[in-house]
Amino acid sequence: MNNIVVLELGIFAGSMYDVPNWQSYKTFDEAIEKFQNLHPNIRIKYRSGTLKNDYSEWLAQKIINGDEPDVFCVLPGDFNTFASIGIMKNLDELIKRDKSFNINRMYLNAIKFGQFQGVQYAIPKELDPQLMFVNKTLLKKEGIQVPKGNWTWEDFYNICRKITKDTDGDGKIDQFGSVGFNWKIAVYTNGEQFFDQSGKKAMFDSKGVIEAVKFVKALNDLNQNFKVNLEDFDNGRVAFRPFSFSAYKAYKTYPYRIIKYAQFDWECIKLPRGPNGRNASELNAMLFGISSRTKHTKEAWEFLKFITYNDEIQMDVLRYSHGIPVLRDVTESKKAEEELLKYNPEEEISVDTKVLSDVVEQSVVPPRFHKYDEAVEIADREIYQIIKGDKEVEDTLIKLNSELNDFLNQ
Amino acid sequence: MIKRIALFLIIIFMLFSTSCINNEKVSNIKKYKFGASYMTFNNPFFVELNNGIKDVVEKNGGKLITLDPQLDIQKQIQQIKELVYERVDVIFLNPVDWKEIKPALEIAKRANIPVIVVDAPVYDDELVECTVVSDNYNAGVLCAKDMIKRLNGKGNVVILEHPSVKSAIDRIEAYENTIKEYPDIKIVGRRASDGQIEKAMPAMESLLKMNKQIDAVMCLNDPTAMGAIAALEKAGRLKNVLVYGVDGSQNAKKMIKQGKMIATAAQFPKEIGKIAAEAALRKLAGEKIEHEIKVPVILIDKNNVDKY
Repeated sequence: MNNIVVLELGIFAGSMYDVPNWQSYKTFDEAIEKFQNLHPNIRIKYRSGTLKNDYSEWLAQKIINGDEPDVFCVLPGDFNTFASIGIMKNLDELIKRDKSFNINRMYLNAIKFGQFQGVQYAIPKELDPQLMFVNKTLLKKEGIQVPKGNWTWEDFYNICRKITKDTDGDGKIDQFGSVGFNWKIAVYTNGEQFFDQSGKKAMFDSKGVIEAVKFVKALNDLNQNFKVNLEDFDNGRVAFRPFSFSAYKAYKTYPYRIIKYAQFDWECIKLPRGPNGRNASELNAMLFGISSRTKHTKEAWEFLKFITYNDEIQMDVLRYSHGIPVLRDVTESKKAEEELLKYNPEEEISVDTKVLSDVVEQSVVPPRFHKYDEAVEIADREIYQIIKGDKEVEDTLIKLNSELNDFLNQ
Repeated sequence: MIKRIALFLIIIFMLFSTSCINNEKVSNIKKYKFGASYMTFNNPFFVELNNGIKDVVEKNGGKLITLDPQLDIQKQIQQIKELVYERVDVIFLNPVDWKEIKPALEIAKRANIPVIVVDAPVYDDELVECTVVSDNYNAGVLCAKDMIKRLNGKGNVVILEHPSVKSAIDRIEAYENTIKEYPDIKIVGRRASDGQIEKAMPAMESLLKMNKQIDAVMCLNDPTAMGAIAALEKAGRLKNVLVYGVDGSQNAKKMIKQGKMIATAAQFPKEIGKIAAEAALRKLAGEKIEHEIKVPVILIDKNNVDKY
């Protein structure tokens, strides 16, 4: 009995992606059982029930008390802080030494998602890329074809222009092109970043970012100051909305399809690309890391490897969760295709395994540095003024860039 | 590196301390710590109920730890143990199973931590301080009476239930007792859904396969009604079946407006939460509190849905 190692796992109840999930523990409970059968000397325990909203605070308290879990889920908003204070173990050496772990089976972007300043601190268990929701009923009514996967900003803008109109003749626009296509998505779909990898240099004065902000402003100008919201979208008056794969998976099939967007036909396609970009935006992921203070590094690594690298556990991501496996060959397998077919058995499949792999690979992983969130907030405030029409695009972005450079180098 | 960790922890500690000081300025009441465990958070009803508790607790400078066992009774018992271990002042409990929760109640009792039950009673109610629930029996009666009227006292009905939860048992028992007087209304099938949309849909699909003629379905709650509607819609049989639920959720109101659901016996989860939290504060202040508090329910259908 003395040889038994007990590992604590840090997870929360419910969905990583804020979509309905009534049995989020199922995938972990099954993984733990399989892992314990393979490693009879290791026991995994976890505190059940913590809500996602409370999870960061719970974990911070555990860190303060010095009893954080050996392996824990790291929410994207916490990753930079945790990495910068050294509470997560540097995994580079463990990965290098483990001959049974070939990191190249994972999507390159999945690997990047767990890196901070070039060091691997965490590994995703699953991924969630952005797609574009299309209201097919609205497009059909206007005689417009659903765009194909490789579409551009120009195609997107032209459709939005045609769609935006006053349909009841009361002098007010009541039908709109898009909602939620913000400046960040525009920058990413234009193949740009707004900070460099070191987090010391802002790039808001680059041609690609200026182009992206101008595009979002042009899209917004179509609405003539009317603020389109999600209620308009839910009521079928908006053609496009950036939409996560997880939401697609949750709401495309019964039973949840009766609750959301049931009043019209819809589908998801890739996002439109800018002149220099690709058809994908920011990637989201469920990350796991190991405490730098664990007394059981070897066992913790075995478990982390098991949930992120075991074929069956990765297939369970498609069966029980709303994400995509991080192993490319699992996502592109026949079994995965069968799982996805459940989501659209009667219609032509727009989101197949090939599309998913493309979108994950073309997605963007923003640079990781400690001041990232604050810097984005500053940019958000200023760009909001530009889009509203209160400030000129180019000069404001150049000035913003200079302010952000000062902030980043303070 | 260790220095940086220490710095981060100090910052967090400072943040927490500041919020404590502010809270103390706001209220002189002792800063109580409360725990709550609900059968599931995959139901907006419990999210609202928890918000009702949280509002009162935080207004009084307290802290609420909320846990979700995802309908697993063993996880819920473990959660109560942990709340006892964390020395919370009061536990709010919505039991996954009204009988099997007993060991957790005994643990709380031994630790002298009062338990206030919300929404669904426990079997061993002498072990708890207070139970705040909707008038669940009346919820079943209201649905049954409306259904009898619309069916003109004749038809085949099915039931989707949750037999391990007392609030659900009461609703269905009231429904059955009310329709008993109408021999031409026949219960042709029943299934358990655990109150979950995900389980209700296959349960309803199985009932549809076995019964060619179904005129109405009584569902223990609104998520179950959503699952039933999904199954009926998929099978192309929704327009022939009257769907009833209990909760008064936003989704149910949406379905009523769309003509996909007939009625829901509305509960007031936020109010239940508020009453429970106020009872907890009174208990902590040394007052005697009621052993049971019942909150009325009302029937919402297309005639009054816009009012709620």
